[in-house]
Amino acid sequence: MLHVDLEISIHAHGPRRMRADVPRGRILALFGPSGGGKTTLLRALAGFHPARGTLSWDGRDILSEPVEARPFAWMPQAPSLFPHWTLRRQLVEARPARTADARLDALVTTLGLQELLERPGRGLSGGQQQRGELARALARDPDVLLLDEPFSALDAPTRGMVGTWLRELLRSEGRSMVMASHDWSDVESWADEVILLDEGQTVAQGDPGTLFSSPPNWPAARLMGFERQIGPRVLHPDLAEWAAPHRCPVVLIGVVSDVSPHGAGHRVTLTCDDGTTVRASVPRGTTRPMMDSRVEIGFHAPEVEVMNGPRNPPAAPGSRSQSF
Amino acid sequence: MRSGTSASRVAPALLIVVFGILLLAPALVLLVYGIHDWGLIPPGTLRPLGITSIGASALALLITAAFGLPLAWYLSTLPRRLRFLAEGLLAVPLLLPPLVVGLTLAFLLGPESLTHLAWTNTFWGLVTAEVYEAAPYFVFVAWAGFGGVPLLYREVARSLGWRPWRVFSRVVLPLASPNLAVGAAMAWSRAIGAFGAPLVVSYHPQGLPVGLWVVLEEFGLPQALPLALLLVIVALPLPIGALVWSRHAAR
Repeated sequence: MLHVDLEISIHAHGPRRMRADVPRGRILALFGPSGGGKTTLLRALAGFHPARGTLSWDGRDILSEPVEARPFAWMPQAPSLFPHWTLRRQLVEARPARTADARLDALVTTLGLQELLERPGRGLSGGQQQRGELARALARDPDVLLLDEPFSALDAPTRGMVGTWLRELLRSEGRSMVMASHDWSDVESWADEVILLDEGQTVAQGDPGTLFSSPPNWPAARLMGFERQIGPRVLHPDLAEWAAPHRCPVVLIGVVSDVSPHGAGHRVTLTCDDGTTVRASVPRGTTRPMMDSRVEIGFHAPEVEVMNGPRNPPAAPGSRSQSF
Repeated sequence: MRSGTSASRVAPALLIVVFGILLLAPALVLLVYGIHDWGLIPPGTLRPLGITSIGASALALLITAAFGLPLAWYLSTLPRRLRFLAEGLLAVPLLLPPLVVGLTLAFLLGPESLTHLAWTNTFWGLVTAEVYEAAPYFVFVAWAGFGGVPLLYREVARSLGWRPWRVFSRVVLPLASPNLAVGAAMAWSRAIGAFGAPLVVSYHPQGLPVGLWVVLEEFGLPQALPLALLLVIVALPLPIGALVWSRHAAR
């Protein structure tokens, strides 16, 4: 198990505390906006950024060890395949003596890299690099994978395939993973636990599904994409209910002031009678409302446990709240 | 209208041709008269001059690389505020007139000097003088090469479990090698063409540039031109090869 209890100094935000236990086979996600401190925390775990406290793997202290001695593989956000080597050489050089050829072959096949093996790093596209880097990180045979936005350059089908495969691999081989992501769908899909970060500060921590269905505070809800609060309840565009709005705890009536494509469906902006606006997703298969039509929208709106968060006033929709 | 247009096309072309001829004239003269007067080279001068020059310059290049590589690498790891200071210090030997370098070296390496080396007018004196003329160029270019290797690659290599020497030899050195080749080419050209410092430090044994000057003084221009051609023939292949390779490697 990876045990983390660190105080990390984050540029411009001061010292921040990170605490987590990541058992073998589990995935911890660091989630938050760009500049939220995810990368710095990941770099601190890898050993590239100073940290104080405890960092251990199966009881073995690793904080005092240099980067190269830690049982980690780190994959940065920027493309990092060595430009002068073929992909094959990168994998072979990353492999410790104990890693069998069959394992490398399996990595190459699963990640669809067979055709790219003889190409140099500088000749690969963003998505190809990302798959190559993932293969190289796994070829190193690490106990813990530290991945910074590992799926950002992958197309949707590849992302799903790679994520599912990686999750299974971690479970079957007993490795742990810490990944940074700014995409909540990645977190929901793959992570067992998530730390919601804002300005380096842990705003909430726990199971992604539980956090989303019951946000502990407004800052956490805002990070997860909730845009508006009404009383103790918070509204998320994806939790709109068009078929039977009156079965929802919050029903809003207003005029459709904007309709735009969003994912497989649409997203509607509703201007309510009091002049406030709210956004709602229209899933594929649901009739798209007409512009300027008057509609009722229900929201499956969870209640936040701590309305304002520890020191944070509720923010107006669309505005950024003060530091937390 | 028509004549104006053609004049505006002809004028730049004419200018380019004139400039081209002016720039290439010395090389053409060297080639034509050097080959024509090859037989006028004073007997017994060609072999010793060539061997001394190539030997001393090759050693100077080796010594420059042996000391310059670690120094350039160390400089590339300096924090930003120290980098400015290091640049200034390194610029001193680069900007000192070669004759001044020669005088100070003669002062330092002479038999009566503090070092008691008595290297003046020896082969090692010539090598030392060439190192002083060549090394700053190599270090500056190699420094830029090392500095141009993104930190990210070094970090990733370390996270793959590689020790510092492996990171350096597998990642840093290959990625900096185009610059190192250019630096070596410049250092070779400076070493083999060094005149000012060797003139003072090592009048004997003579390298090609000093020998060339002596032949010019004692015999005249027709005897000196073939030696100048020889100097160019000896000096050019390595830099040209290194430049071609570095362009290919950087691609």
